[in-house]
Amino acid sequence: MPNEAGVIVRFQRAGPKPTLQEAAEHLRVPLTALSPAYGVQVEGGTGKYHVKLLQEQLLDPTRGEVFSNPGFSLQGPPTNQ
Amino acid sequence: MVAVRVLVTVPDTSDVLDAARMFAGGVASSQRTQSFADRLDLDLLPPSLVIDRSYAPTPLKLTTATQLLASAPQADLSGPGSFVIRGFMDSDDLHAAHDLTDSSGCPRVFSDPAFGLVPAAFGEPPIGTVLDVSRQLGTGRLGRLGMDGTGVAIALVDNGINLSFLRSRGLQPSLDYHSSWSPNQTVTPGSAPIDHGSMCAYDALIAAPRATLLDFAVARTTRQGGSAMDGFLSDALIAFGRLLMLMTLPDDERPFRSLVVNNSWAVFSPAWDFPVGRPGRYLDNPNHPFHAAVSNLTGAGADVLFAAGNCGDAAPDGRCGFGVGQARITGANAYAEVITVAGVDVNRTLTGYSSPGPGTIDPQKPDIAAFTHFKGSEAFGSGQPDAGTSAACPVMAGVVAALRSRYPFQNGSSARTPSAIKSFVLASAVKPAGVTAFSLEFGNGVVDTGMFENPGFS
Repeated sequence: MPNEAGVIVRFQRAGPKPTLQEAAEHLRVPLTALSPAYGVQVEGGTGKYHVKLLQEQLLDPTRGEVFSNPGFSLQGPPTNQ
Repeated sequence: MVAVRVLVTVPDTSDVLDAARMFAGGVASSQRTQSFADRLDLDLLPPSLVIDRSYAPTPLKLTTATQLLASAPQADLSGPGSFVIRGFMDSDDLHAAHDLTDSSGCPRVFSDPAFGLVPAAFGEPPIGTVLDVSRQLGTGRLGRLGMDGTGVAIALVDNGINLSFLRSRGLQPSLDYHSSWSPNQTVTPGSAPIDHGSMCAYDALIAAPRATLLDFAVARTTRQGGSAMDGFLSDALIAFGRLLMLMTLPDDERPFRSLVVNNSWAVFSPAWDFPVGRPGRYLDNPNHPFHAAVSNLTGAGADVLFAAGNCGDAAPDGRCGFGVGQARITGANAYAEVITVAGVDVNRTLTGYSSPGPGTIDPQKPDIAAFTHFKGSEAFGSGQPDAGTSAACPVMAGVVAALRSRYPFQNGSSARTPSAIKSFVLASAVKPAGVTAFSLEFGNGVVDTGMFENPGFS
């Protein structure tokens, strides 16, 4: 089951920034398992990229590193709780 | 037998009045304390009372108070209960002493209980106002020094800004619409519902009223004040990526000279992360991609600030899910590159909700304390404080933006790197009373701009 949080997957790839389709092919996951809103993020000139994968179980862990995508909370007054 | 501290009321006899006038008149303490007890009529006092000679007989009636400064004071004008003095007596005698009454039948001996400063907690009224914060930050002086945020952008990675609200609060905010961003395309920058982000914007503008705001509305909350979970890290990751693109634009194409990034958010529960032992965790893992995003942004010259969080010992937010002994400053809030901000009230007392260090990644957290829990934006309703380390963080971000308006980031200048600016503002901080070194509550101290005029760099 996809979940909204999903996981962040980092991978390394030579050449120019891949498209989401190319990222899906590189990771060998269906394109539909990647978040189009997240797209492909560049990790600062290192040839590393990351995507948001909505179904972690689809990934062969040798294709990319998996990181958590935790929720966060604003640190203001907890009104209306 | 235990000595207990008591307060005792006495009449305005000439002896008491003379003793009180010696305090009021500034008689040297040695002479004063020698004379004080001698001047009191011991018949008026409980038998075992030892008078505290350091405590001035304090008038309890207006007529008595006026006699303290009169040129020809008159005794016996106000009668019983005119003054209160302090002393110590045996606890064994206390019961009998409580039966003592004055001529009007009123009790004369009262307890003098100890009290402690109650740290500010959510739900409690504001302590001080935005004017107090402004005074503490020296914003008038900063303005005269040209430190008002001019040329600096403050990105608020939050739940959106409402510009009309800020204007209604007397501000003249400037928003860079085109550089702003939200994953929610239906929210126009500057037009979010009045909420947390507007509070943060208001607070950032206290010290940097001429800064340009960038609205990065990544939190998805639709409930005022936030819900248990307001967004996902992945949204903040995109925001940081976009900010990095802005920072890497050539100087003449970038719409600001310096960038300050405010993050008044944190993870409230370790249950939201991968389980302990699994690689890829966020809370204590410097290898997480978000660390690279933050590191790249500070490396490009942006000053990044994070709130310490609201899981303090005295009055934690009810949403905190950290166990006893677990570090509560976690993830990005604990990165060495960022300035992590604890919360104090305008009296420089730590707020009960401010998360103490250490941090999970850099143990030397928080870095500095800034002001919160004051009457400011009233974004949460009339009379409601700007509260949480959420408010302290943008107050501090405004101070950094003010400094940056005179010392913007400059490629190649080692004095103007985010790391150097961070070191300077931490060195400028003032230790609160009783604190002499780095502390896990206040970090390096409370923000202070006294050194900004001559920072020692150019």
